[in-house]
Amino acid sequence: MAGCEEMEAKILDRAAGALPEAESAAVQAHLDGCPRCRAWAASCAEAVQLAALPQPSEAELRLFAQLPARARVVFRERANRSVWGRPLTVGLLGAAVVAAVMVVAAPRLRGRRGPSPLAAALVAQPEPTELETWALSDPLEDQEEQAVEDGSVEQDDGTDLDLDSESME
Amino acid sequence: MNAGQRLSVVAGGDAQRSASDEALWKAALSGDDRAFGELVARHQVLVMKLVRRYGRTPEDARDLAQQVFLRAVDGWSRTFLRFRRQEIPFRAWLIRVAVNLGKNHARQLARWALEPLGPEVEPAAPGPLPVEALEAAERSRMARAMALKLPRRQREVLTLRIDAGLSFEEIGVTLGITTNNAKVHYHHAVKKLAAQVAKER
Repeated sequence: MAGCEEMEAKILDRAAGALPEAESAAVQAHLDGCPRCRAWAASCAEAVQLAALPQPSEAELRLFAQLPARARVVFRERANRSVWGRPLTVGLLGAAVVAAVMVVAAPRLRGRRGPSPLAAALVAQPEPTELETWALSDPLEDQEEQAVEDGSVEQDDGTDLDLDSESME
Repeated sequence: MNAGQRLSVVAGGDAQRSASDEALWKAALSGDDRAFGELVARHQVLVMKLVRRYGRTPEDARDLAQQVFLRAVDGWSRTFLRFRRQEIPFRAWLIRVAVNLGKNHARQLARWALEPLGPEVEPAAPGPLPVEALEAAERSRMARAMALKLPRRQREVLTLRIDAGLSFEEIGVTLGITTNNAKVHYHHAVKKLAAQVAKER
């Protein structure tokens, strides 16, 4: 805690630009009379400002202006591919299954024990990708975080600054 | 004929512009590329703001934004039909997908440790920058790196707030947490960042 405890939340809200208008005058009055809080409020505001991204450049804005047209073209191409590609995909999948079964069965037919490492790799079930897990199946859920009740997150006195820690992941 | 197909049949420009996100979304799911284009046009600024932090170059960020829209439409059927989850508003879903894809993109390229984070800053004028400007740019780069190393929820709340300017209420809806919880995570994030910035000074 770098300032007055009772002002901490308000100063942090102020740094986020989320302090209600009705409270801003009172907070400013406190800051005018409290050098510690004033310094801390300045460092919080600076941290937010530094962490923010720079304004988009002209080149970025031009590139992003192309987005709707480009995305629509890709969307159309994918839609066409899925219509025409479905029978082909099913056929290829079927062929792959047959090939995998043959690879697994062949050693047994020849009296060998178990499949070769290559065969085992071929028949291994594909794991869901991280992308699928994160973005589609389980968007932003965090079991540990779900247990955190409102306001009951342990108080952070600023001493735990191990930013490499992913304990909340 | 389902709602999506109906929209596809009747939609002219005005009808699409007045259609809800969810109606456009369902129309896009049935293959209506005009509905998809309208969704992109409607939300491109938001998605752009969200993915800029994760793109190495503006082109990279634009391609990532495109992927976000395609995945958001695809993911709806997988997540809400196959897994029978409760549906959420399209905008909240889109933000989730953008944050997750951005995070995944950054991780895949191992960018956090190796490269400067966020879009490259174009120098305002040719020639060497003054020392103060270089120092400021370096401090900003370090602060952005620190922001991405915050614990997951703090990082998400912070970036949704300062990149996209979402309210804490909207952040709560997006992340499936309460408004107050979003604010608490934001407070922790700013406190850590401020302490770390002060330490590096």
